[in-house]
Amino acid sequence: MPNLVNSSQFIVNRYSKSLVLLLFIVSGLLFPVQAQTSPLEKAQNDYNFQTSQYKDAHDKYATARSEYLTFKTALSKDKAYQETKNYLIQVDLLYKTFLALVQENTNSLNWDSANVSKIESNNILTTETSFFDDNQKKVLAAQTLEELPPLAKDLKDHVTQSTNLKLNKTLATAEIVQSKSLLFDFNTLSATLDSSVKNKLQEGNTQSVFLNWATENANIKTLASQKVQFAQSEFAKSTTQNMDTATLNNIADSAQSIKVDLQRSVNLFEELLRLI
Amino acid sequence: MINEPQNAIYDTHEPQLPKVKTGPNPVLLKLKQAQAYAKKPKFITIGILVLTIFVVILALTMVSKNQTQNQTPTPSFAPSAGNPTPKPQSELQKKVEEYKNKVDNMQNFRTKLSYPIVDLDITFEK
Repeated sequence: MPNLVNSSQFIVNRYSKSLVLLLFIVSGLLFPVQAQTSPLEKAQNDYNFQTSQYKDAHDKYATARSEYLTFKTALSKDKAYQETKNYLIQVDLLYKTFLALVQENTNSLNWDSANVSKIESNNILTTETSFFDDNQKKVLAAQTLEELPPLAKDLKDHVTQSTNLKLNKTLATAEIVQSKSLLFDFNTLSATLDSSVKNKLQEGNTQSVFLNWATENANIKTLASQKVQFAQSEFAKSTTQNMDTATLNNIADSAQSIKVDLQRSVNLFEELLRLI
Repeated sequence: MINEPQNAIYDTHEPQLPKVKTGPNPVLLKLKQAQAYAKKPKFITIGILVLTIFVVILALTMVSKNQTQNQTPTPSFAPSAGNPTPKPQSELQKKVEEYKNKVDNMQNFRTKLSYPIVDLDITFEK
């Protein structure tokens, strides 16, 4: 009887295994490598994952802290030490993944028409990442619960007095690079369309839309250029690697205003294409 | 003479003994059935059918891919003044489309990359 059981199982398994294998091969051929992600997507996924890890660690830390403050036993103290240590490590990792995400966002920009240094921007992020690496080592080396609050305070001071200000500068750089790149694209396209319009005018086609196109185009160009210049002058105020939040806000507002101007230009270009 | 019913012939046979069930174990029977089922062409046919379906899908996918690659532009029968669609304009349209996408996808980094908010006020005093 065992032989019969084994042989029937063998036959069933043999067929089902070959079928599963076949399905794998066919599905692999039909849907080739759709799971590939870009570095930017990967950085975003890492940051999202780390955010959830951070929240989880914070909950555990809060519970352990509460238990320790209630019971004051050696066991509850040890648990509070373990959970606080883990929590601080998760904070370091959260900042490191965030810095990596910022880095990938700046990498996705076109820096060709920018007059700011990408190397300098990258150095800021690298320096900050090194700080969180070192801090993580210090937290790992801590042996008692009493060592952890001072480390948390150092971390907080560094984040508020250095990291956030450096990130302000990096984001302001990104806003300017992006705006300048788009303004360059606008100027290039506008010049090409301008020559087409001039040809039409020479052919005697004097439709008012062609005549007014040039003035509308010039208007957008002036407005966008002025805003880029304003953003650059704001950026120049910061001579160190740091930038205050108010300056970043001015630059970011200016960039969003440029976007509105350039969206007007898109409508204008599309309208013109229908006419020429 | 009274005719005896034909059935009477059988009556002359010796009475049959009640059958004693000596068949195999029901579990064993089920196992045998399973073995038979696995060997049945039905099971193999299902496998072949699934394989055929996937091969057909694969072939259709490949054919459609080839069609899009080798697709030649449909000749236009619209009346023209002897001038085909000017190439520069289609390039311009492409450029305007690219530009539009860039403007639409312009990021607001300040909001997209909002900084992590962490609790670093760690104390163990009430």
